[in-house]
Amino acid sequence: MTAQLIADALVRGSTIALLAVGLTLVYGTMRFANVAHMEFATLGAYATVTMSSVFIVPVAAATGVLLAIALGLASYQLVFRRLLAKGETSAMIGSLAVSIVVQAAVQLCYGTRPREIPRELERATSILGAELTPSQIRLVAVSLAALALTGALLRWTPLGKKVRAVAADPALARVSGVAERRVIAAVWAIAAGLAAVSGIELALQSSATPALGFGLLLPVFSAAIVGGLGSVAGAVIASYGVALVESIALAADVDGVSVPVNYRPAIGFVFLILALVFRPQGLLGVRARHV
Amino acid sequence: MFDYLAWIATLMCVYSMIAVSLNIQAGGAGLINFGQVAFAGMGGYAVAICSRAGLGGWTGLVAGMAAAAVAGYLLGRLGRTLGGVYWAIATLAVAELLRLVISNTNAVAGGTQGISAVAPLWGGLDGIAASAARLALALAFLAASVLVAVHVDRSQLGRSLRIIRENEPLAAGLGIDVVSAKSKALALAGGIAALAGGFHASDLSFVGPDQLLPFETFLALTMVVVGGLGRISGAVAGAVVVEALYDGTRYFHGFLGLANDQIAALRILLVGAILLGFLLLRPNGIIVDRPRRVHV
Amino acid sequence: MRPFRRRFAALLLLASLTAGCAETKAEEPASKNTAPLPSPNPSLSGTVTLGAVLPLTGTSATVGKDQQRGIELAVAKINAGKGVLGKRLAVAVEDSQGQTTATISAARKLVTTAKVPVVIGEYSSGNTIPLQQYLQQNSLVGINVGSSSIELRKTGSLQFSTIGLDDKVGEFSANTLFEKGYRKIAILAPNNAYGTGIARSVTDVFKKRGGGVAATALYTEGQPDYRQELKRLSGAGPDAYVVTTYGKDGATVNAEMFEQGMTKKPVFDIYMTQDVPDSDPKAVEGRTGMDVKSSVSGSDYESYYRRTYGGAFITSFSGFGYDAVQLAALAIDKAGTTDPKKIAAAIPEVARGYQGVTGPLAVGPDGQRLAQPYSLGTVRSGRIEFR
Repeated sequence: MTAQLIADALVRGSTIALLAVGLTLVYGTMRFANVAHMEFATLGAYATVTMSSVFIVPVAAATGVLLAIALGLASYQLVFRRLLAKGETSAMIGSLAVSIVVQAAVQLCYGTRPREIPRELERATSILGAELTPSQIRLVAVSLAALALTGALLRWTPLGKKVRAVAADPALARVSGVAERRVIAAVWAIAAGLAAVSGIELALQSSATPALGFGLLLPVFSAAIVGGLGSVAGAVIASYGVALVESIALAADVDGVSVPVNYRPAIGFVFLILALVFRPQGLLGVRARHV
Repeated sequence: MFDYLAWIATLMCVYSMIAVSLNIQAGGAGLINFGQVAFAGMGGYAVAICSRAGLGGWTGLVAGMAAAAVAGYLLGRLGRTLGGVYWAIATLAVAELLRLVISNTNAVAGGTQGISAVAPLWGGLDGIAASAARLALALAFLAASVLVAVHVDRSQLGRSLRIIRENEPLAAGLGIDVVSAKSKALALAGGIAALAGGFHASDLSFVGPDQLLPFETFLALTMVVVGGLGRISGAVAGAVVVEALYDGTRYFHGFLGLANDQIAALRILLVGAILLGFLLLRPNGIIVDRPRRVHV
Repeated sequence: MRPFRRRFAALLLLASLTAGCAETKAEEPASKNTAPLPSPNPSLSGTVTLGAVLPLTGTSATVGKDQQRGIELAVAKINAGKGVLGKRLAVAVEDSQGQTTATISAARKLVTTAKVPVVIGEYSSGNTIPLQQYLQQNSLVGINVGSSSIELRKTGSLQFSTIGLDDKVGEFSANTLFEKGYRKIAILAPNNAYGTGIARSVTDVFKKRGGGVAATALYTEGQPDYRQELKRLSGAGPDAYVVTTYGKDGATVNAEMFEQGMTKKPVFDIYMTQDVPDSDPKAVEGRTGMDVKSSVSGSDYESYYRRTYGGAFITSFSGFGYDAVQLAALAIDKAGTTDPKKIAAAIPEVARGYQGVTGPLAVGPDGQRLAQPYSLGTVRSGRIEFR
């Protein structure tokens, strides 16, 4: 039973973590709350759908990720940079507009009917007491690998150190000669890439729809905020944490009283609101009187 | 023909009120409310529930406005430690939570089925008289909302809010009770939005959780930005323009030879593009900015 | 960033967009051989216009398109014959966008500018109920062609339905299940007007016959996965699962039921043509279910549809639109006028004993169908075989 809870949390948490990490990285370096961040997941998924009619799925997925990265860089250059110049608020509202525009564009091109990435339907197998399908196992493995890679990149490479420097203090970093442009490009590439991986894996689980990413907006923001905006480690911990709380809350059955499954999204919301009331800077954020 | 035009005009009044409400928050105090639809929804559901319970639409309207005002006040207190994106996401979460609870509460709120056969506020009138009464009431409500908004704008509260919007620490330093000001603004804005929502419910004779989706807030935000953040007349103008564009494009199918599925997407894309365009190119909105007279 | 890179970025965005759209267009199957609609009888002069509000855009666009097809087929057939009151029949179709506000807007437009006496529509109960209430308030006839909420019994004396309501579906399904020998079932349905109505009616009838419902899960639509809901059902250990789904959720639910091994137990699918065609064949192999009779192949209507559109029914709903137009035309002819109240009085009379393409259309005093024939089917190799 516990094994199943943990397994479910790993699957759900991985999807959220990949997105939350990118979101928090971008906020950390640019003070930009990108509401459109989830659309990279949607775009990655749809790109893979299109490419999979030409290539085999793994290659299609790789091109999907690359395309998402390219679009991430392009969107920053063309849209977000200008919005940010007008202010944080304009940028946030603008990113909401971008999110809606992307969803509408995807719907315009692909229609509202779900699109599949070709895959074989498999039965779940039992691993250490938990039932998981092979594709779910792969999702967790790929996600953890991607997160580990990102962590290693940030911790040990020179580029990673520069990213963290800019996140800590952009002005000082600039004065110290850190090539801000390169750092920003790297951050967007990582963020969009991770988001695309999440979206592709999600589409492999069910299918790609225009609202694939937008549906994750609140859980991802919850995780990023609870973890402390700007903290990658916090985002990861909070993502799996929220997923675990969801699993436990849904499985709990005290004398026949249980949480109706329909309220699953509410668990994340309540978590978020409580966090904002009691500890707005998040788990690993710097304690501030006002965020 | 009059009936149809009156209907469109009424709808524009409803959206104008919601835009005015959002303008008080965003334009007046710099509070970006991603959950605006919840205020309107409270008004709508209050009217519907009271109507069904036999208490009458007007009771529901008052109850809805009160509930929204309280909710706004509490959200304002939440703003004590939260700014910008945190508060925006929190309001979105609250709105989604409300929609979720309503969708799953069949007994009082009708669940996903919604509440239908909501009685009109203007009693048992028919045909043209009903349309005229409906429009008259809508205009009256809009006028009242605008008056409140203008009064706030010119008052001490309005001045405090503007300082808060521009530079919150400065406002606190000047001795302004930031939280109290925000809470008051939100309470008023909530009341106005609930008025709009409640009226709309009786107009449509129906409320459902689908009316609480985030897209409605997005439309309202577009209206306020297009009209010009901070200008009340802008909010009304923006509402008229965006609503005309969004509903006007319904008649495009057939012209462009696109699949029906795609027309819906195109209209949404148009609204989104307009919002982006205005944010990037004309952040002051369509109404040319006039310098504000300073009372020394 | 230098202008060159910026232009490159813009070009990339544009390229992706066109590539995506081009790919989609290429995937659309080339239209097969289609025959034109029957040409109108030249001796008809003048027009009688009716209205229809259908979800032509939005998530139910596929159903709306099919409903429109049914209407189109009926109008052509009537105009090839003797028309209505010696005039040509026309049905003005407006888009409800699947939203309630737009539904009422569309209805208002039809009523005030085209001055129609009858409005056909919509699909979703959440839209049809307010639509019919609005029509009743304005003393106009409404004919429901897609919703099944039992609330529709109360919308008014001028309001009718050509589709059987949820209680009929529930009754038929529950009786079928009981007769198959199942005594403990678990129900899965979407958490909306449609799903809750079906779940309730199946439960009521099944319990009345002596069976028990081990668990009911009403899923919120549009989620990426439903494993939690499905686990609740499988955990209750029923004899059989009763599911009703549609759209993307249908494919997801069916795939996950297979993955979790739930398909090892019997699965009964209500309105199976809504989800089986979109699902992985492996996931739905061998399941039984039901649907309305107009989806059954071999009827005259089916060949007419196939000839005109070059393919099989896309949903089960075209027949209801067809029947609604036929019923309205007959009623107008019988009443001899387009006065809505007289049309409403004539409908029950012409419906009695009338065999529509979806079965006998006889209506009761509340304007709802008395009998709705359904068919049982089984899924083999991804296709539904109706008995």
